[in-house]
Amino acid sequence: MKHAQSWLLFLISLAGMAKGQIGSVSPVVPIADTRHPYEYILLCGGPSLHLWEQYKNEPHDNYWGCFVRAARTRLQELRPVIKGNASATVTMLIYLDGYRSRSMQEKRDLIPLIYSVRDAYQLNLVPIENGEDVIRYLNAGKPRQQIKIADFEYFGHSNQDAFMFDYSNQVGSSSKSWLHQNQLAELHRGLFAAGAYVKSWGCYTGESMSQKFRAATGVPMVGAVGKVDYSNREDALNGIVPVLSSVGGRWTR
Amino acid sequence: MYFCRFLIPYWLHVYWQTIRFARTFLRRYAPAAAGPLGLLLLLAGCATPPKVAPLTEPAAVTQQIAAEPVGDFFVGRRVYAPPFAIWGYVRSPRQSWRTAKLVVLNEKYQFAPDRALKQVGSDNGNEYRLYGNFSGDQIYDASSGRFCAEFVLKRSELISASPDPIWSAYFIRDHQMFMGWPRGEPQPKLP
Repeated sequence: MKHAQSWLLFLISLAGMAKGQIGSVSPVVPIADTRHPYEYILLCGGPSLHLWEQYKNEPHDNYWGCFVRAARTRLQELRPVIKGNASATVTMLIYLDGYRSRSMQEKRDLIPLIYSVRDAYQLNLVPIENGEDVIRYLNAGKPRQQIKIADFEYFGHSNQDAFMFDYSNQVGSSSKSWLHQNQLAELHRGLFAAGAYVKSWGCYTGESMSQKFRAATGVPMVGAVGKVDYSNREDALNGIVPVLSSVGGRWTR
Repeated sequence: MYFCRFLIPYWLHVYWQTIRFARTFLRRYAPAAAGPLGLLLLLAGCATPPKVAPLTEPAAVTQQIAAEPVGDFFVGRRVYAPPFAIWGYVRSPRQSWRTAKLVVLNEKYQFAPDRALKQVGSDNGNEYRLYGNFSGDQIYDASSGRFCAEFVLKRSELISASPDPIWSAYFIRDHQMFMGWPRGEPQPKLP
């Protein structure tokens, strides 16, 4: 009977992994307990500006909060694992500068709205400036001998080589803040818990950066081959679920 | 990982066959170069891309540069090459185009000339006098995957809408501005 339950759980997890998107049956992440305190980290890039995007056939980020909302939707899904679990720390690393400049376009201050997510979900919100901040946090943001990373997911702009926290915001169609795959070698070994779930919800990550991440950390990172679209609303979760949007697009690791 | 076991011998096989082909070809058509030294030179030549963008500088252009006024400005040549975010080449007055940096413009103070006219790309090939400065920062061009110098534009003046060409007809089409410039790297320096 016990074996049957294990197999059932395994099959459900497999289905979730195969589907590879928010809204899958169950969050496939290790569960923290007193012996294994874990950190669950969501990394958020900033939105682009209409000032630069208006010249494109398909301007990015019509909604300022697409990345934050998608991260929040993922948090809702992770709730069974993290809610009321004192051994679980949930952290949002976020590039706030992009939201400060977008605030001018929106004609309202977006920063309090982001902090309201922190308060509602009791997050550890850590502003970041660049990829070095991310590397530093992953390596030493918590005592990694004790607190391993069980989940690390990225929501934002990217190409095959880099996460772009700033994209088409300070400068059109380019980035002044990034985490490039060449920086991943600075990550220490042993940061992640056994079975940790790592995924980039950005465009094209699966075409190169996923392999570099695995080479650097020993942990596979799910990434997209092709584009990812953040305009897809998930009514059941009242949130945003990024979906593959290129012909022949797929998730890989 | 499992398939690598088969791929590595396969690539070794392909590599060896390529060398065999090159040696056979050279023995038949250029026997003097078919020795080990010739083969080494051939392979070294194939593996070494040019280190600088292939800007050409005809004598007329060199003379114009030598006669340029100097001042608190730079000289820029617009390269409109979508989807890349690059603006074009920027150099100091009286310096060769071979010293120019391929820049991304920061337009926080002043729009680029074509954007200011709401005609993006209309000024491809134009030469400008640019007032502003190199910030010292790198900007990551998302489409090319290269790190370019950031030039903060304060003001621009058109020098010529039809300057003598400094690149070939297929420069933009063939993305020659990135020749010898690997992804993830800043612009290579002059050798």
